[in-house]
Amino acid sequence: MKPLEALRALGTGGEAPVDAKQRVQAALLASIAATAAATGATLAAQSAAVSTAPTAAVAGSLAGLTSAKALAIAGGIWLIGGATGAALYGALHRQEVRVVYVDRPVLADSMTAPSSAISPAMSAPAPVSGAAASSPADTGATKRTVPSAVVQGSDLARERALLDLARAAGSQGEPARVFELTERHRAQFARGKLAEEREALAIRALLSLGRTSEARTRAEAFHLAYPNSLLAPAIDSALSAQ
Amino acid sequence: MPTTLKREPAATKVAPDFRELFETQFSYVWHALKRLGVAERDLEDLAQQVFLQVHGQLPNFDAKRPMRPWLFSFAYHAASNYRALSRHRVELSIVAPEQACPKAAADEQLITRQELELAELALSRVSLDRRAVLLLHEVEGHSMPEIAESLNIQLNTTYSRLRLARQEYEQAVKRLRVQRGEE
Repeated sequence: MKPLEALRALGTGGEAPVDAKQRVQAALLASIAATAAATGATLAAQSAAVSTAPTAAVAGSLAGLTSAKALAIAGGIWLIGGATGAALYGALHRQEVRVVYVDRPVLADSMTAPSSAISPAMSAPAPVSGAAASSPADTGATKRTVPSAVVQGSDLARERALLDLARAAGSQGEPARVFELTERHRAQFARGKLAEEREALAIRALLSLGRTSEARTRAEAFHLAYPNSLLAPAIDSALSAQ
Repeated sequence: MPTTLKREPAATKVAPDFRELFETQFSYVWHALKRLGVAERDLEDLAQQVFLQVHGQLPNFDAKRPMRPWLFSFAYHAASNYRALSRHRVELSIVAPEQACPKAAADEQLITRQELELAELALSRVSLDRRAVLLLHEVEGHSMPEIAESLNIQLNTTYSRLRLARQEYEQAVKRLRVQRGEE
């Protein structure tokens, strides 16, 4: 076997240890709550989004205090971080996690907006640290897109979103879903910029589904269309493994 | 404060939800850190550090870009800083192949566990900068322009690192096979 084949077969890894994940989540939430309190209202919006009233209320009420007081209370919060983290985790854990394809209205709006309607804020660089109360407002108002690139970027973004979902499904061992998503991509972006990647994903998905002859046909077409593709070796090795 | 809350829907439209991101991407970040040479005992600390940074930068995330290379760049920088501390270097070659749990169903039956172990071990011998490109491209299948953008390096540099990474990796495999008496 060629060395690179084994490398490609590694995948992105299985599930991380559940207990480690829980510990990191609890510590993370405590840190975020403490940071939110210490820096004022920076993360208040996020905390509110978590819909755990106590933390959001504490973070929110701290926003108006002096930083010294806020820091003192932040220390307190950190101390009870374990309890808060546990409560947050309890609240969070019940929620079903789903990856959802979102058709972003932000880009659509930008496409129709004349350049004169774009505020000067759009050309302002995005905040680097996000450590300002205006951060959520900025992201809402500026949309963080370059007007001239929007028209070209929109389709590419949609293409990427679809293929990201397909990859995610692949890493979760759902080749049927991968294939479904690549077909959706093919229907919408037959000659898209990421068609090469789509085909590579589709071929591997077909192989995983045992649809070898279809995979071979698609692979032959792939080689004709992209004779110098960097993805070709991966496809060949997957095919030869059949 | 009320103003901030009113603006919240506009903000969430752009930035991905952090909780969802944590839930769905924790394992990914965990394994990325591990493959970037972080010792088992330090994984939790580094993972927490990465997600804290991700949380801070989430409003700046460009939703047009793929998520994983972006996350990977945080893991990569965290691992680079971590490596700079010499006390960690001793353990770099120690990997736990039994926990490598590949999901590539098609290949799984034909590629033996030993070969996967060998691949993990050889991977750990590739220098960090090159390994990052190798992981993103060969293992995860991301395009070279995406990788260049995520790691904030020139496209030419990215291709060069990939080429050298493949060489280093293949040489490492050869050496390991010789050590094991396979060749």
